[in-house]
Amino acid sequence: MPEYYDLGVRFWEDGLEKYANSLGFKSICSFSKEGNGMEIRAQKLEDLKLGTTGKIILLSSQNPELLKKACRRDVDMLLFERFLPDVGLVRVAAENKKPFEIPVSVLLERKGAERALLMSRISFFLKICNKYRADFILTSGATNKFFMKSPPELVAIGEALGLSHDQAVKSISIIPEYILER
Amino acid sequence: MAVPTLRKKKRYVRLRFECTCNISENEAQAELYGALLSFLGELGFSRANPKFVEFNSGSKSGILKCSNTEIQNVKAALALVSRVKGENGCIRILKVSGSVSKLMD
Repeated sequence: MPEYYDLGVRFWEDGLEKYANSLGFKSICSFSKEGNGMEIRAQKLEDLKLGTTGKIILLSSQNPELLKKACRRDVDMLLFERFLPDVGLVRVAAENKKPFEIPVSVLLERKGAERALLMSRISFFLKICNKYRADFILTSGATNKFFMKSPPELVAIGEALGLSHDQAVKSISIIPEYILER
Repeated sequence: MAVPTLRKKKRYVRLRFECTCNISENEAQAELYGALLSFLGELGFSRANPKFVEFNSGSKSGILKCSNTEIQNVKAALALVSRVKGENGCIRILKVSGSVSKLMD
């Protein structure tokens, strides 16, 4: 049985790891001050000057050119907030083995047609990732406990986004494990 | 009653509402059906064929019956619930089984 990881929690509180364990995760990565991850929101080239922190670095941006440059630097994960089908970006990410984060919270924050259109965009983005063999990680992206999802729930959402069962399981087990071991 | 060969297989889902507010059986049913209908649409809802089996308002947990083939879509629909009775909350899926007796404890 695989071990599951949630590498996209956006908050921290006492007992959070225990709570994540009770949901079925072996480990989590929190992008908060107290956590073991660091999220960098890049808007311009100067934001890509990364120091050595020993933390898992997530680079999020709306600019695909910045993300392409970040692929060649010491970044662990990428978040393309617009989820547009940029083939160039996906190919560079695949060559440099940088996985994309797919936070489920972006769907939870939306309702109706807005959610449906975003699901369609993410679904097509994942299709391109599969075509060019780029890695991706399904995460909860949770900003509170209610937004945290258990591994079977993440797998079900992954399948709703067009992934096969195995791809969805791999995206919350093998790929995050590889990131943590780096 | 349909003959055994025509009868569709079903799954029972044990779930729990995680929210700060109290929730009655009718409200829980409305929340569940609303979530399924908005995610699956009318056609998907009919295929999933959900039935609210029981609910304990004390522990805020209950059992939902649905079609075997649509179980992953039902799980996704319930996982994407972010508000319960207008407040922050979620629906946790605790266990899925083919027989209701296994979920009854």
